[in-house]
Amino acid sequence: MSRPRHVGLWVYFWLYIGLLYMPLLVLAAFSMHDSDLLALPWKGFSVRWYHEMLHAPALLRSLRISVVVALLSATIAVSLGGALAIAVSRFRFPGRGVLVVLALSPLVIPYLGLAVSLLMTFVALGLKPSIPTVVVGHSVVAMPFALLLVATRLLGIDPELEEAALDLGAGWRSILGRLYIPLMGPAIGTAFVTAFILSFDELYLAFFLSGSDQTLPVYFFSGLRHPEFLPPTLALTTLVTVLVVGFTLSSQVVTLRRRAAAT
Amino acid sequence: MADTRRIPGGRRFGLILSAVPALWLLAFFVVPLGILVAWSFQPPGIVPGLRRVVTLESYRITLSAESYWRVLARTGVIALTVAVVAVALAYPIAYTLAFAARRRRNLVLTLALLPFLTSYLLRIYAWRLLLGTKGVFNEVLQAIGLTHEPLGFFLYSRTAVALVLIYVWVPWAALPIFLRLEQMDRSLVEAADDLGANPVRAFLRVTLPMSLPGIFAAFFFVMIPTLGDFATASAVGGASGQMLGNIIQQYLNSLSYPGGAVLSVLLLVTALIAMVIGAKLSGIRDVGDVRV
Repeated sequence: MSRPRHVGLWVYFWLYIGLLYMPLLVLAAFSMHDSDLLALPWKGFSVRWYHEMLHAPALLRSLRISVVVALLSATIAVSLGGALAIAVSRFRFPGRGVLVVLALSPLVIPYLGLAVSLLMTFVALGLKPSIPTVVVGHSVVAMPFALLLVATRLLGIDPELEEAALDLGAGWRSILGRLYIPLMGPAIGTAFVTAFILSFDELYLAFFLSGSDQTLPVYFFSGLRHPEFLPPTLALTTLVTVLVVGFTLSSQVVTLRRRAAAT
Repeated sequence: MADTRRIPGGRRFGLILSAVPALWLLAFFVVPLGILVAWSFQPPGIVPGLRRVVTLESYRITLSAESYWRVLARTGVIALTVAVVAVALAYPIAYTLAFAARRRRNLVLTLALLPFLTSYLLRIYAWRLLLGTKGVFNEVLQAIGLTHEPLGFFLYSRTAVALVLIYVWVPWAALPIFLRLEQMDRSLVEAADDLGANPVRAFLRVTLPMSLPGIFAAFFFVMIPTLGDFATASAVGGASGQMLGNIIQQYLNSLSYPGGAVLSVLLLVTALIAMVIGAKLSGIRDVGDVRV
């Protein structure tokens, strides 16, 4: 920070941060606008949209659906991705290479393409899009993130720990239960949060696979065509964002304090 | 990798552990892609279910529409532009985070990565509010007397789509580059310094080449979702800013599955080509090669 050649970088960085947050702050301000229109001129502050949001059953339903979908899909993604991470990072078995490529490919597929494929599969099977179909879609795209996060952690485990366990006569059951799973703990937590956030904010799979069980992003997106739904949706989304960001920042501060206290 | 083949029954255990994830991926990833292809070989029109017919009619009709080719070309150009510009804008951010930030590193990192926690639609919608004819920019321009009438060109154009997409993706592009720079062996830059290379030369000859895998990863992480985007174009694109995703969405909304399937196959093939090139260029062959 002290070296002069970094000044330009810092100027750029803070300009970027300013530009990054400016639209979001404007939006947060508009969620408190005392007007039916999300446009200028400014008519003053009010919490009417936050009040209205509490009395918008369809909006609150979409929030509940989003939470349920995110919890279920993150649970599936982390269990399956975690199991796969142990398998591919610790064992050699037939088909391992193909499986790794397959499990990572949802990272590089446009979600729209997968959404259409899954929708057409469910249509062909005569299944109606609803909560379970979105959960399936989100679990597939969140799995590679869980796999990568857990596998990175496992690859960092000191091989001597395993050798010690083997020398002491441990079989794979106890190596799994007493070595891998305890050491995977933090990575599993991170993977779950990542999968939850991914699902909670995902639009394309949810758009085609949720049917009448609209998730919050789908509800928001359909609000673009029905402007009267927008202000309360905007208020709710702003509130959720503020809560999530506040939670993240405060957990950061707690970690920093703890680290400072430990040294 | 540890020599865990010594674990009694390890080979079988690996198979057992991976069986359920593999079946899940097979059922909900591989098979659906096959079924999509099957739909694209159905006769065009509104089809209630898959039938035992194979025809290229849907491909013929959909691909002979010149307007779709124009939309496809526009989508490709937008995706490439967005990916290039987002990576270029993100590189200095990643560099600052990796090398310049010392004090308050956590705060700076959090600030740069926080947008991941904000809603994707919120970030798109914010620009509609800013750029609209009654939006913040127009009102401010009129208030300070620069213009007398609202300017319409801010919104509903392909430029608007590209700008908003760049805004949405820059934080995403910064992440893989940052992770790559973070792992770099800094003594190499010091060695270049000691050997008399000026900072620019040291950057061009050492840091930049070593961060190439991160740059490729960032490029494809931006380009691929952009290829399938329709929310941005719906919000700020108007008729002239329509992307492939919008057309696919229209097909599906009108239940014309075969036509929608043809265009989706086109989308996936484009992404697949990009992915294969990307994997080759960035040397990713195994989970251990990808660091998160």
